[in-house]
Amino acid sequence: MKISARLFLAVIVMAIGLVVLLGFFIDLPVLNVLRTVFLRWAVILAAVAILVGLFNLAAVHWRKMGSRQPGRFYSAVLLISMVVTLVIGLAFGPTSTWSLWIFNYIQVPVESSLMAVLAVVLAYASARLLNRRINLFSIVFLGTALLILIGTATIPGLVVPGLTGLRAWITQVPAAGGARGILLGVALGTIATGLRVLIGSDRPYGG
Amino acid sequence: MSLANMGLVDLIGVLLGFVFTLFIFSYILGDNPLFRLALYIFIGVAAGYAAVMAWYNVIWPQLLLPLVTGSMNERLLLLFPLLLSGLLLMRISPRLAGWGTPVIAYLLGVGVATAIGGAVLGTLFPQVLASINLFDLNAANQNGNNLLLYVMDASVILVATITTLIFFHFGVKSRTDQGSQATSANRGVVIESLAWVGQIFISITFGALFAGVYTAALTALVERMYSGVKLVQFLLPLFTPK
Amino acid sequence: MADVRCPMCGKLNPADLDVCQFCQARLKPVMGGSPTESELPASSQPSSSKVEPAGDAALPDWLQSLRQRQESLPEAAEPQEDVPDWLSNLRAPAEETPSAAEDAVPDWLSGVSLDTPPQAEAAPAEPEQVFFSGEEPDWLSKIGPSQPDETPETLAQDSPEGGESNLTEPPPEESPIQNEEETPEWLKGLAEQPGGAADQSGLTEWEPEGQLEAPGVSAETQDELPDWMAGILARQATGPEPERSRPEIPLAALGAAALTQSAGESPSPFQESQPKGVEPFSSKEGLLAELGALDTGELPAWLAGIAPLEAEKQEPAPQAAPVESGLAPSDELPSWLEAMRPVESAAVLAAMPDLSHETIESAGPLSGLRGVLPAEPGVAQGQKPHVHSIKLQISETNQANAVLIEQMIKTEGQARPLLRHSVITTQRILRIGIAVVLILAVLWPLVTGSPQASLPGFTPETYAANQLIEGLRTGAPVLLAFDYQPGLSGEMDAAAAGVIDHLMVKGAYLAVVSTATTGSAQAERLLAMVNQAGQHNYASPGQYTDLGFIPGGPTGLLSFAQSPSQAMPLALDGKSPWQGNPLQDVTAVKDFALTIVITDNPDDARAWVEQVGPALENQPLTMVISAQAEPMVRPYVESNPPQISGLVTGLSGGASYEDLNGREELGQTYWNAFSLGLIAAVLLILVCGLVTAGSAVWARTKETEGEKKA
Repeated sequence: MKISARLFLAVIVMAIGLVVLLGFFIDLPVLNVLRTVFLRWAVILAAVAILVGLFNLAAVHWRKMGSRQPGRFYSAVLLISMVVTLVIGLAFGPTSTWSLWIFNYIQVPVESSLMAVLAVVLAYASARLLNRRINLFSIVFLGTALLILIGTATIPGLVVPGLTGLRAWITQVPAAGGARGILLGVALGTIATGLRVLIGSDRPYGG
Repeated sequence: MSLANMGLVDLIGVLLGFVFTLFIFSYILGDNPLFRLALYIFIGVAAGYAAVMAWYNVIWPQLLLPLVTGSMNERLLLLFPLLLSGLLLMRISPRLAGWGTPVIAYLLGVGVATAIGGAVLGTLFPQVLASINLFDLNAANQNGNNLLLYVMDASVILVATITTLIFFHFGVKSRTDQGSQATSANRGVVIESLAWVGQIFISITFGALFAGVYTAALTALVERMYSGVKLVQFLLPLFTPK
Repeated sequence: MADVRCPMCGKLNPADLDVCQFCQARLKPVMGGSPTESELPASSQPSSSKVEPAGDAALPDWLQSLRQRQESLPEAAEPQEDVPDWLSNLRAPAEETPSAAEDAVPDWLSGVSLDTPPQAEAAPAEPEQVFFSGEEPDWLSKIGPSQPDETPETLAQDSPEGGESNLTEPPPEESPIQNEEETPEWLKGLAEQPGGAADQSGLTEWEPEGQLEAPGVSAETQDELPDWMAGILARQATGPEPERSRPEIPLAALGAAALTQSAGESPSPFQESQPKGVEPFSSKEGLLAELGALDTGELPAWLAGIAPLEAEKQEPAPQAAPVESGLAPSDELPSWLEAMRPVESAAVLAAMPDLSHETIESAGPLSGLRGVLPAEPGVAQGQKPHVHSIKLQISETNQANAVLIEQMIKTEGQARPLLRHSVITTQRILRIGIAVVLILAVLWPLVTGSPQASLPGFTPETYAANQLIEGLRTGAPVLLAFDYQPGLSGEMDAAAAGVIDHLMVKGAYLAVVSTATTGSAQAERLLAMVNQAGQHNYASPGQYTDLGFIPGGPTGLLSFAQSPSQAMPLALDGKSPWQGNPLQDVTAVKDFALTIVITDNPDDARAWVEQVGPALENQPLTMVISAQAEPMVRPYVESNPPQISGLVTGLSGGASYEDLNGREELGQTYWNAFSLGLIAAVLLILVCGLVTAGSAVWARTKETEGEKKA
């Protein structure tokens, strides 16, 4: 890419990013107006990006359908279901009866079922965890999970004293402390990565 | 909505949902065409619904409709996002994808600045303040907590926070001899010990996360079983002789 | 008469021409060998003025020019009846233009009469220049008539190998031959002597028309003559030699040998190995041609076979006549000629092959020569090819590999039983077993309604959320965000149902928004479900409004937080909710009485806290989250001041919330099955984990023992 194009892209990122970032800390009317306008445009462009993703998905499966690759039947099924949903949704609205029918009886059951299968898979994986790796951290991990699970449930006809309190203590003290450290680390990483992009050191947009 | 009050269309929908549930559950036996069929239908429906929402809720009312019915100022102001939208749509074509790069840069600039501001004001400062205020004994007294236990809990939380941060270190990798892989910087025995303690707390946190995920998955299983039971209970009288 | 094609340029020339009119190449090769004139076939006998080569030989240009000049000279200038034509041709340029010979015609040749044909007048200068790259050699000057006091240098120096160098680097002390008067008598004698019988060798192309004559070498000139030349003269005196095949001797070799004048210092190269019947100088043209061809350093056979003359010196001027007179028609090579044979060493002579059986080249620049490299490729020579054994040399390794490959090929055609993967494996059995146990544990309470598990207790955060909603006034605008995926709708619906029911009970105005594309559909579904279960009459837009989908994640939330009405100007039904009650007073998110976020993703929860939380200022933020998001959201709850005021976590939180309100919703419906399923899962994980861990430890122990025993 030419130097002028790279410079242009870097200038865009820096200028726009600076306006939005300064709006967090400086309360200026002009800055607020500019920030609002930039944010609105970004919202619109994010919706257009969803359309771009949809077209790309359709193109990939259209090509797959036209080729001799195995699984082109499924690509055809995907395209048909996409088109039908698009037509019904654009014609009647996203919260119309027919759109909600598709959502309630196709999308929700399939996604919920996928999540339900996860319960079986996770139980199987955790049962085999100690077979693969036995060390302090895996034991702590599995022990914590089992304690929280058993502390969440209520055993019919059986009350184990302190089980609920232990579960609460684990989630509120050590787990919360660890989570706070993770959140702080994530925040610091976000700041470092974001500043690198704003100053032009990183150019993930291809510049 | 009870099945008895459902219309025929909804009943068919419930049956269809039950069939899809069985298709997905067949994955327990192994990958099979029924599972794949249900999966591909779901992906198509989800993609289509997302595009409908994007058009219906954002592009049409916030971009195209104001260009037609809005005031002159609104129209002029919306020319820029219209142009940028056109450039972004060029990303569909591999040949013209380069024209959409400035728009990507624009979105990246806005997103990065938003993330930085939120991280600083929403997480970094409040969480550090929270760590400082862990030993606010006045607040503990007001809440009627046992001070000893309060201080102990606060200490554990503080140690967990610090040691977890030490485990996620941010540093430059030191270079070793040429040809060999770069190794992490030597941090000292004390730091390494604290990082090991932080790893314990991280394991506890991840264990709690795993428990939460399993809880959510089990709840989904319960919901699916409940739907199936309700359907069977609705259909069973139809097939049982009276 | 048919036209003749030039061997060099390939163009057609009249048949009567000796040289090509285009490139001056010799059209008719010079006849070599020493056949006498009488022995020559009538057609091959050349005229006195012209040389007719046997084939398409190309003489050096200088020699051709000399010959042509010789032919053009008047023959009466000297007694020519006994002088061979080639020799007379050699003399002619020296007689006519003594001054010009210094630059063009070599002096030693200019002293010898040459017949220059009128057509080739322009040619001579070039070949003469080609031949002599420097000064004229001494031996030629001795031959010439102008140097009586010059003594020939050592003849042996002009070996066949050194002949070339002698041609290019003549001794500087030798003076070139100027005119006929300097021509040695032996050379004059050579001119008179008729050439030998023509033979089939390569001498034919350069042999002069006339026959060589044995030079009458006077005694006083013997010392001056080189040994090889003296030998030739001596042989001439003894009589004609029998006819013999004449090996090719390049003229250059002849001239080189003549240049060296070392009488007696070294044996004449011509003496040692002179093949019988070799008469190199049968024609003057052939001599010249051979002299020119000596540039290649090749020692012709005839020259190798010629016996060198004794070391004799000869005065150039007075020797002209005796030289000429000494050349008597004879079948033998004159002694002087034999002495000129550039044979230096026995090894060289011995190495010279008998080329009598070789064919005479008839094409190209080497035409007329015998035993040269053929123009055709080696395959045309008809050589018998080398015989190679067609039997393979197979080593043991090769044999073993061949056997291996043979076995592999044999097994290729044989059907091998396929390894069938068993459908039922231990892992699959375990997975199916876990699924069966879990499903049964969940189904049983749903079908039978037992056992009944006690509801969980509420947490402080759940209580706080309950209190916040409880404190809402009727019609208070509440921002309700549906940010969870349809996959977790089972848990989220159960967790949020009690909260929404509570809101509906309180009569709050719900402004529904979502950062997920399915949020609006989820909201409609749950609201309808709660509406029906709680027997409420919540409808849009009277009791709630769906603002729609906010794209962009945190960016959209920030935009919404800055100005909700600008970020979401229209509701999903296409109408503006900001102009009528109760949202007309809402200009910022902090104007909402309560913000409740229903999410399953900890990142979404964090985005709401980071982007919208600061804009809320003192307004509370409540969340209904999934159990999987609780660990990452709890720090926000436990911060001081808290960033999240109320928290309802998963099915247990929803069930406890419902219990708080005293209303039964999905949470309580699912709780029994959930609780039993959870216990079953814990037991399964424990038992299976211990068993697999034990078996793994056992297997490793046995492996370690096996290694130790090994």
